Amino acid sequence: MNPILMSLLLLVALAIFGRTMYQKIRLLMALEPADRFDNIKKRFKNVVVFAIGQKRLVGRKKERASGLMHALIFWGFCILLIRSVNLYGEGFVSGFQLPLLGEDSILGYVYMALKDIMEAVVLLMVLYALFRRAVQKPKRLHNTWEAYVVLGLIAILMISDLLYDGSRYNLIMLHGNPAQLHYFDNPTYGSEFLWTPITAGAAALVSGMGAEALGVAMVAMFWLHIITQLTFLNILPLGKHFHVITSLPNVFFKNLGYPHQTPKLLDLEDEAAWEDETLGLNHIHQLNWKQGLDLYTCTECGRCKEVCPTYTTDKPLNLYDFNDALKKEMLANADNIIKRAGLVRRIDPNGEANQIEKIKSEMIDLNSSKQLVGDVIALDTLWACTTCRACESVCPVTIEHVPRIIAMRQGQTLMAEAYPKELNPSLKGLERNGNPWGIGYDKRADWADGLNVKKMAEDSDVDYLLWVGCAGSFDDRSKKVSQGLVKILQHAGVNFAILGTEEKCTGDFARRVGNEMLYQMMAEENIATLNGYQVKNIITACPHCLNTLKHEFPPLGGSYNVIHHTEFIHKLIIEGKLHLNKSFDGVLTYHDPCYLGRYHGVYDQPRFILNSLSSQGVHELDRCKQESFCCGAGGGRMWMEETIGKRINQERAEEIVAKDTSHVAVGCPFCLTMIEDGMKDLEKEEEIRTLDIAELVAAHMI
Amino acid sequence: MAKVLVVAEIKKGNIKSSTTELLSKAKSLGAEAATVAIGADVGALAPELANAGSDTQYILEDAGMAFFSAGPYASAVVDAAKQFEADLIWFGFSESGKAMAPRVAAQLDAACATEITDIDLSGKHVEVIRPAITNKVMQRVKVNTPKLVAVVRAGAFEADTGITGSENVVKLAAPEADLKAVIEELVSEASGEIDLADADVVVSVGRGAKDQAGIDLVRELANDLNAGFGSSRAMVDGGFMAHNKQVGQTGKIVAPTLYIAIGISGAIQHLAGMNGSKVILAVNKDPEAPIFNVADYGIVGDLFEVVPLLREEIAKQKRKR
Amino acid sequence: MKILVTAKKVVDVELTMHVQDGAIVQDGMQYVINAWDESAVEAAVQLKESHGAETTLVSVGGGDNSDMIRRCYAMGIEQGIHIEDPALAKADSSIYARVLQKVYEKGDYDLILTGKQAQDTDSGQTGIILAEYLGLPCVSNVVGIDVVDDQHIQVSRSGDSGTEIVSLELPAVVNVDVSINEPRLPQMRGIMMAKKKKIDVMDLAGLGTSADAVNSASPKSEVLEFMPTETRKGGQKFEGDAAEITAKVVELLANEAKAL
Repeated sequence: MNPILMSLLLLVALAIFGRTMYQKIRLLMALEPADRFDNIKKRFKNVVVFAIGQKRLVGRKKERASGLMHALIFWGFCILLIRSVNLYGEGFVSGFQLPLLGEDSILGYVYMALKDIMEAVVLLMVLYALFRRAVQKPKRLHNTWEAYVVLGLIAILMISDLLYDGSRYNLIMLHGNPAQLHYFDNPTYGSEFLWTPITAGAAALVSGMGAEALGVAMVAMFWLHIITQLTFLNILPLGKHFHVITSLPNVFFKNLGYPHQTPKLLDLEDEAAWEDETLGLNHIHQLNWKQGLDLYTCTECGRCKEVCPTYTTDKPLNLYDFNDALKKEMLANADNIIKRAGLVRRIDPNGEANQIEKIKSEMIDLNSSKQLVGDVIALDTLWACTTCRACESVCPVTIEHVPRIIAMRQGQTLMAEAYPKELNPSLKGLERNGNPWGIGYDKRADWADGLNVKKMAEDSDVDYLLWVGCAGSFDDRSKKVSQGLVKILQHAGVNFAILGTEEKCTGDFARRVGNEMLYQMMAEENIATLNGYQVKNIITACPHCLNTLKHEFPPLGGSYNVIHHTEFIHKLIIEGKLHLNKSFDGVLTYHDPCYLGRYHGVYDQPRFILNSLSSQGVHELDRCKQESFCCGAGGGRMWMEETIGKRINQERAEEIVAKDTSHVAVGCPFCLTMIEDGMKDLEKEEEIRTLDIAELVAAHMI
Repeated sequence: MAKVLVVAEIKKGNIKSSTTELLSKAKSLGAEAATVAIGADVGALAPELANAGSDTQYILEDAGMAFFSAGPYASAVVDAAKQFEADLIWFGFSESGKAMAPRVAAQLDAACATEITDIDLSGKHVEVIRPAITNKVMQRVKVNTPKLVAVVRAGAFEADTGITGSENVVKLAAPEADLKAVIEELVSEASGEIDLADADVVVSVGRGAKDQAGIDLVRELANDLNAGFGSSRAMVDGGFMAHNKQVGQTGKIVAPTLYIAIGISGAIQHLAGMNGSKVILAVNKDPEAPIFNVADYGIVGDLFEVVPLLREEIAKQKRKR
Repeated sequence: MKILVTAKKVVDVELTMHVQDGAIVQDGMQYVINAWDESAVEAAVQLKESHGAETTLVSVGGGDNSDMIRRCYAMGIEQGIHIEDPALAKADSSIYARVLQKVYEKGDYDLILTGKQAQDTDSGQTGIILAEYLGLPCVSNVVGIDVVDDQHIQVSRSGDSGTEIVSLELPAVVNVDVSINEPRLPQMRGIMMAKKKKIDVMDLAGLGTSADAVNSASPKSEVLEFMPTETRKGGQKFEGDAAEITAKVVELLANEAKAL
């Protein structure tokens, strides 16, 4: 078409784009480091599944239609990228063809057809998207002008390309191709227009125009397309559509194995850390680059908000706003963050103390003027989170929301000494007697009286340690679960023991509320005891204990094989060591505990067990498995009062009541308490019994 | 013969039961019993104090003694003790008693024992039994001094209506006011309400009552019995009952003749507050509620059904008398 | 304002106390700060924060109290004194009061804060006896403290007829109840700082006094033995038709228990 114009446009657009990207990347590099370069193969696989496969959009039953809509626009874009390259080529050289996709090969024609259809599909999807936003107005969506602009630009891209081709078609087919325009025409495959029905349709729309008009239209549409595309490229980094560029890397760098970054093990003895306030997340510049990338990538889709138990019950934790607030703060301070990183590099650890002091005070001047917790993120917001991970499991671009919250809580507890003081009785109980209720540690094994349970102190040569947990030891209701589990293990002839009064709280809730000091104290004491007995295998009925023992003890020196009691019972059944009778009478449903499902990935084993004892199977709740609705106790919330909005456990209890069941099975002592309490609040505790799987198994084993 | 001086507990012009109980015990031990009463308007109570079992009544009646002030009140007790040549000075279990006893002991260079449940004068040394370690164990204590000042646990001694004394009033001179500790104001508890610590019968309401309607229902029962109306922590935390109504480890400790727990599960902290009651009746929907482990009589049922029935049956019993 | 606050180390009352041969079984025992004294410490630290008071902690007896004292440092107490002497083995409230008197006389304190009773003895005497020995005004069972000026404070006392508001001329002794405040949880920064702080440990001689001066050989009372309390057992529990069982129970209350 016009190589000079093309070069100019490309030069300008790419220069601007390059500069913008440079700034964005520079900001990320100025943030804290993160090790996300391990296991490259697995990372690529994740990209294929989540980013390219659009798993969380297409694979999610809920809103599948809109998921498909986006997937099609995305796949359309991927396919049309090749078309774009072709067009740029055309801008330089008339009749430009890409290797492998030229008119000599069938692939070229297939691609023509594909591109043609995809343009129509994308256009249709854009119209659907506009319809959804403007007419259906789903609650989770934020209807910003940015969204409409982008949809408009995409529409323009499709339309301009179709009209460009349509004009071309008319000029070639109807007006005898006066300008000698190039088109595919292969004796075997025919003319390209045989393969492009949509273009033919577009052509029909403009067939009324004369040859000269068509020629102008064709050129105009061409440059409109190019300019729109280059403009679009440069708009992307400015808003939520940055995800178009960053989502693939964001998925690539997502945490492997454990669902998100485990809370950072803080070195509390490090005096420098106290001085520099690097314990916990206290300042925006303390985010690591992956977290910065997360903020770039948030598409503002609102799915996190929708599944969040606190948001659903009218508490001020709105993850969309959370991401947005952090992103704005990060971008507002971008220059200072970069400058600060530069100063850090200038610090010579062996240099003069005065020099270091001077640099450090300059660094402090570069801190944001806003308090991260307080101004940017409200206190109520920070403490409302139950760490259930529903947000993380629906996020289409795999953002890790929870670690930021924990890190901020760490900062609040350690540096600001500002945390909900209502936690004090539970924290003191932990400190003094190793359980949040503060009940004398000497009573920890009383639940096992008369059950003939071995203590490790008597005989530590056992196959399994049964980790009972605080609830299972002290809470009247949960003690029954411990007793049931013991019955099962003894019945199946398992060689196990408990720690008894030597067991202490794992410190899970202390960690979730940011109290690293207490957590480390509890962890270290427990690890010393466990290692003293050379414990290898642990069974536990509490998913919170499970999580801490398995994933958070290793950095402190404690590595054990830890499984949940439902996994173990499942194993016993499979191995023929335990048999269940399908004698359960009633309608059964199952509430997936967050820390068993979303943290540990165990969904099938509990169901297998329940199906083995219930002839009517398990009636699934609407919000089940990966999208199970939190009971409200996680994140330390069990030990805090719920004063804002509706009670989370009531919300869940109502859902269960609406399912018309007689029994709800759970696999966690918190869930057991919360859901049973919810039933009591609704006055349904006589009609609907809440039971742990261990209790059900104990009652139906042969 | 030992000489016991009982410090009378007087509230709103009435002599509390502890005074009679302590005097009965003194007489039953074969001791000579006197009593000392302090206040702005206590002279008229002398006959009643005699009737309760004292043979001498030391009276300090002075306008300046209207409000309790530990210093002057203790001085008056010391004065009476010296005049009576008391060996044993006993206080009822009250805040003023607890505030005065150590002062009196220090001034008389005597031992002091708080919350005694029993006393043995038979041996060479006086021995008392009292609780320790927040009431988890009992201790037997030997008194090494010739005199002993003691605060007696509520309801530890029994009143014997058969025992009387004789009127013999001795007026005490008003001591100096304590200028360094001046009582500015007394913020009274709501008038017209029966003090939990005094009441012979206490009815307490718990979470089972759910809301104001439930509380009002249980309050009717309390009114029927002329009982003190108390609460478990749950209803205080829920804002339904005032903090001074809370019976429990961190609230009030009561030991009435009859304690009726309605809709209370019986958490350890609550039990600590009413364990000393003579008879406990509990009503709760949950047969496994821990309250049934200490209740002498337990009714498993819905309080909304049972409380009206209780009121009916109690009214019937009253009519029988 | 200079504050002297007491802290006694006592057994952890959350544990079950076992009595054997007239003594409390020590196996598995845990020791903690007396809850009432913890409130006194918190009150002292609050006065430091609001009025710039200087705070000194004193602990008598108990063996190695350094953990407890460091915890108080972490809460905000500036100085700590620990008096330990074999002569105090049988100390009773009046002997403790004498020792505290000597500590007070060595300093220049305006206010003595103590917990109103100790969780091991349940006595509630030491603070009041100390006031008597020192001839200072004293209020016990205090649930609120307000500073009026350098010479006066006003306290709220939970009395028999309600809450008494009392003005005290300093120096004075105030014995607090746990309901006065919720003691803070020591935070990491405080704990780290406390590790490096010194504790003044001394015996009676070091305090400038002697066993005779505090009468330590003559306790006014002594514990002969410990006995278990009688645990209350459940009686009769009735289930069934509400009208029937209620009638039965009321009848029993009236005739068997004679409680109506």
